[in-house]
Amino acid sequence: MHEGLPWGDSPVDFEDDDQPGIGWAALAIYGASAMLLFLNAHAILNWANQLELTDTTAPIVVTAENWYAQTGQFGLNQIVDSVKAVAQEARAADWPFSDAKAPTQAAQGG
Amino acid sequence: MLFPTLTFHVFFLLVFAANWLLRKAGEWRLILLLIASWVFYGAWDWRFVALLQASALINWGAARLILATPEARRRKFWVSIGVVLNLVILGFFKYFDFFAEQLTILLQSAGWERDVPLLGIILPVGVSFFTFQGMSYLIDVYQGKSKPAGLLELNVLMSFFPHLVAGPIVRPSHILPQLRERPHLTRQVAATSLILILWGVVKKAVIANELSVNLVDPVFASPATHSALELAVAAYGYAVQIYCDFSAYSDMAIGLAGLLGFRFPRNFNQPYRAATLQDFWRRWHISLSTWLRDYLYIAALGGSRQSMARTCFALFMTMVLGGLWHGASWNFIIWGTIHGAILVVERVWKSLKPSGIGTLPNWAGQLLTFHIVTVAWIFFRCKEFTTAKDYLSLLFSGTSGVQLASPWMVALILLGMACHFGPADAIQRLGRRAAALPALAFALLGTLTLLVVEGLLGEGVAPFIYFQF
Repeated sequence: MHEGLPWGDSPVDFEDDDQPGIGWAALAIYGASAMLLFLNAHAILNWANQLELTDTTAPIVVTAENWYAQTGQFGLNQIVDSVKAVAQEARAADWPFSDAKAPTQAAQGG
Repeated sequence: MLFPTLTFHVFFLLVFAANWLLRKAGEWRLILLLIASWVFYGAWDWRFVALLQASALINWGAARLILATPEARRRKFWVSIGVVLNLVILGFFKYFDFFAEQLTILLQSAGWERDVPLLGIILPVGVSFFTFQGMSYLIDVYQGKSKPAGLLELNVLMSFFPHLVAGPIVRPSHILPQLRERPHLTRQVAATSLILILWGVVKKAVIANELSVNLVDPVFASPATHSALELAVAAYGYAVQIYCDFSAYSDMAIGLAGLLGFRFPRNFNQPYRAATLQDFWRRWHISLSTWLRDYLYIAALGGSRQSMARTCFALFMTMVLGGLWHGASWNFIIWGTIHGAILVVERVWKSLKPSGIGTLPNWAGQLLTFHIVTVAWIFFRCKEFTTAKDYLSLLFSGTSGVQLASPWMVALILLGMACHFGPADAIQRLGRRAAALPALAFALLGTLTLLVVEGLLGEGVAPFIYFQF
């Protein structure tokens, strides 16, 4: 009876790997989460806006909106906003030889 | 609860902390993982958590009966009962309405105007995955390939949230020993797991999502209003979308499991580099194709140790049933039939090919296989056979129409294809390098990646394609 996944069958198999990683992983995961809390208020606001509006969720939505406004005041939303602008341009870009435009692009003035 | 969402992010932060705090607590850690998995599954529909428990209980009970029975015939009886019960669960929830509809059509064509009642059954997410997992446990115990599991272990094996709703279909003999060991996490495993998750988020949220919303869905919804070139680009787009969507889920599942101290098997290996269709199935959804090979093609249909005709029949039926596994719909059966037929042709050609005829160059084989797979995806994507047929005829008719295939869409298709032609171990190489960084530097790079993804994300994240299976 062969027990266990054969070594090398998983993408997370490393032969020369003995450095403990729990603390490193925890710092990376919780550190990134803290950074995202400040730099990605967009995601928090999007999440809050998808909640069904009830007496319980209304304060959450208000808090998310306030948080988005506050981080915006400090310029922390800038990275996502800049990427959004670039992405918008990339989506709207057309082939140089094309004269037909997609309805969605036309509606967006692209 | 979808992986690349804020809700799941918070959920995982809690599970990660609790998992490592309980790493020396033996079964308490398994109980934690089980409860977390039920919460994860219950976020879709709490009622189906009971189904998951019932499925685990049936398989655990059947395995106990097999082990308690010395007589070979009775052991076979119990394994058959167990497999049938699994198939009943799968059949009832996934196929009842489909077969009832087909029966109605059949009766009507025979002149009997009878309506077979439809139950309007809601499909439990991931039912195909966890029933296959349960069956493989039962068969492995019967064949002596896996040691029996306790009820808690089997529940965790079948319910473990990283693989629960869309695989990989992990083998009991691969995972049960890991449940019994004290978990550990090294820096390279942690870094590689995080990179797998980030790469999965990019593939799903940027490439697959964008192609789906802005190209594939609109073109497949009304092929007649698009040019032949656009239809071709959308077909390539769907090939890339389904790869990025499904492999992203597998990457994230492997990464999440890795961060919790588990080794999951690789599920994709640059599938569009395959030079034959047989090679494609060694690279695409590896956990399903090996499951079908071991339990259906070899164990149930006899495999290749029989006459050529019977081997071809076994191969063909395996792919047809593999198609049906994807969903209760004719398009999946047709997709499976196409794959089965071409695999049979490949096998016959391999054995009958005159010695004077050389083999195709590798690049030509890759190009041919990719196009066969892409054409078959059209049948997979279209709900109706006639829509797929129309799509294919329009593809060669050269009409003109609305243009959606912008440079951005083509760039995303090329990006999705590009990852097939890099080194196969690119993620591991990156993982080694990332493990040398200080944790906060890695956190900063991960954060920047996720901010770029957030900026590129359109209107939220669509569910994964394989959730419907």
